[in-house]
Amino acid sequence: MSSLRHIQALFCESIFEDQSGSAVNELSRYITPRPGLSPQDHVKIYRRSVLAKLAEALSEIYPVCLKLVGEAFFSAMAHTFVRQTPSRSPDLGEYGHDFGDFIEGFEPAATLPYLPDVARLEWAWHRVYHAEAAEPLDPESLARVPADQQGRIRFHLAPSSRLLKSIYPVHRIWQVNQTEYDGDGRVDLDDGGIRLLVWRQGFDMHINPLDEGTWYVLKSCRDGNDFATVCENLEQRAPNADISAILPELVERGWISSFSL
Amino acid sequence: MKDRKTMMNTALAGVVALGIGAVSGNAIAGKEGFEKCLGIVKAGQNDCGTSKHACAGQSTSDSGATEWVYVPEGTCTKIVGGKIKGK
Repeated sequence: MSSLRHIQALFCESIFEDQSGSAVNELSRYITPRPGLSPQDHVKIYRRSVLAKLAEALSEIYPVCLKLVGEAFFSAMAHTFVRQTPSRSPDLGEYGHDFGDFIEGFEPAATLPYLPDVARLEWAWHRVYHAEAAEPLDPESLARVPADQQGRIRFHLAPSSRLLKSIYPVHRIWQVNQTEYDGDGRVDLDDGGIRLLVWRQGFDMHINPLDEGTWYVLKSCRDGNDFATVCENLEQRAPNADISAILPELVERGWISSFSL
Repeated sequence: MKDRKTMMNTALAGVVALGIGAVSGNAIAGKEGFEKCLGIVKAGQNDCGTSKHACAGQSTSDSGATEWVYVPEGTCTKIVGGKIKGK
C-alpha cells in the first residue's frame, strides 16, 4: 500500500496526531533521509508550519478574543483547537468556524462565559466581510405577486448578513476592544443580552442591535418560513410589533434582498 | 385569517411604495440608531499571508498545550458583573 492517497492520509495524520508518532514513523519509510535531517525532522518542519499557519489564521479572525485573553492564552488555546481540528477546506477563510463552540468546552476559558459568543460574533463578522454582495430587491416585483399567493412568499436575507443572539452584551465587548476605541473599556455584563445583525453595505461593515419584532421577522425568514408563517411567528413572539412597518424597513435597509415563491 | 391577509397586503404595499430608488442602500445611512463601524479593515487572508512561519515554525506551535498554565491576562479584566444565568 503506497498509493498517493495513502501517503497523503499518512501525512495529514502526521501533522495532527498526538505525541505517539505512529503515523510519522510509518510515513518516514517513504522519506529519503538527508545528512543531519531525519525523516521525522522533515515531517516536523511541515507540522510546525501547518499548525502555526492555522493558529495564525485564528488570531486574524478572532482579534477581540485575542485581546481579551492576551497573546499567551490565545496562542495556547488556538494551538489546542488547531491540533484537534484539521482544515476541511482549501480556503483558509473557511477555517475556524467552530472555534466558539470549542471555547465553550475549553475548561481554562470557563471563567469568561461570554468568550464563546464574542468568538461567534467575530466569526459572523469574518464571514460577512467575505460574503458576496447582493443586488437590492426590486420593490415593484412584489406588486406582481397575486394576492392569493402573498402568504407563500419566502423572503431571503442578504448573503452578506448574519443574525446573532447572546445573553451577554457582546457588541459592547467587541466595540471597546477595537483598536480605535478610546473610552475606558469597561463593560458590565449585567447590561444584559442582545440580538444583533452583522451586515455589510458596500465595503462598510455594520453591527446593528435589533428590536424584538425585527429580530423575529429576520429569524423567521432566515429559517425558511413563508410570509404567512413569519407573520404568525411575529404575532406570537412580539404581539406589539407591526409587520407593515417592519417589512418595508427591512427591504429599504437591504437586509432582505430577494424573495421566492 | 382575514386579518392576516390584510396585514400582509398592507406590509407588501408598504414595500412597493418604497419604489426602486429607495433601496439603493444610501437612503438609510443617516437613520437613527444606526451603528457604523469605521476604519476596520481586515488584512486579506490566504496561505501566503501567514507564510512568515513557513519552515521555521513558531516555537510555541509544537509544544504541548497541556503544559501551559492558562491565565487570561488581556482586557477581560475590564469586564465586570455577570450574574446572568442559563442560556
